[in-house]
Amino acid sequence: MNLTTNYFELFGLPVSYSIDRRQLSQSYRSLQQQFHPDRFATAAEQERRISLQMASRVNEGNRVLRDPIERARYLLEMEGVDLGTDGETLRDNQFLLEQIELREQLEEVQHGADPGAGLGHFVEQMEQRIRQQGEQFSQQWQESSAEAKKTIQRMQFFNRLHRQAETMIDDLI
Amino acid sequence: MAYSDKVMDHYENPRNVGVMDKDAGDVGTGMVGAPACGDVMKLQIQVDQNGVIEDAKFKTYGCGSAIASSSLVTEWVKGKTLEEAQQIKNSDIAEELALPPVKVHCSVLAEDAIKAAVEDYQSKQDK
Repeated sequence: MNLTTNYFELFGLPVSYSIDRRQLSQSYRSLQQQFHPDRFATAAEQERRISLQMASRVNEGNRVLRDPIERARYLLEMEGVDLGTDGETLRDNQFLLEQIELREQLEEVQHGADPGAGLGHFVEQMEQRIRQQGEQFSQQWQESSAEAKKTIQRMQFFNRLHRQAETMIDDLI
Repeated sequence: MAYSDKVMDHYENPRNVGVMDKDAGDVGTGMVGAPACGDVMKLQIQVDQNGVIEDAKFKTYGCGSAIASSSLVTEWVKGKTLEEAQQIKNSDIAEELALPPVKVHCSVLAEDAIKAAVEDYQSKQDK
């Protein structure tokens, strides 16, 4: 094991979009123990530095593999796809129309009779939409990186709504 | 991050917020989204027989800079011909609003939105 293995190898997982979360958690815990700084307190300077780098790589890998969007982006990056989405504009009218409707819906729910329940339901809906896009992604990413990239973009829009609804829930308390 | 006075002004008093009938023959609708931040912008123009933009409306779901960029563009395009409107550059918007580098993509979104609206209008005329 070294600093250049990809995150899937690092956690002993197959390179795939769908991941075994339990396996990920188990590997994460054992890797965390393996590279815990306490175990290297008396080690040589270089060994200590490497273990620190590994520990932070383990944390970052866990974060990326756990997140449905980050994981998708990582897979495409492994394939050498440029994901420079910043400044790129999406012009899919049908999709954007639905996005506007969802934003209007979110505003209504926020100001509705039972915002707590409504927002909770909205969050679940967005999670489901992200999952659906994820399923699509897992079929696409090895076939067409262009289509897979668009699917990631759609996930990001749903994720934005998801985060927004969660912020609204936080504000209720 | 602090917004400039101009951004704050457009954000607090957005001009031309509203919706036009997207099916009307003299209306062009541009819809664009920024995948990086999830902002969504809808910009509509109403065009007279001489190809001059009479009115413009927008609806933007996004940050203050995205709202200000679209608000500013609706002000700018009124009275312009379609060609003139298409020449609006995101750098002009960014400069006018004093957008910081991390918010420049909001002005790109507004430029793309007006271009999309003009294209939508033109495609209706070709039919």
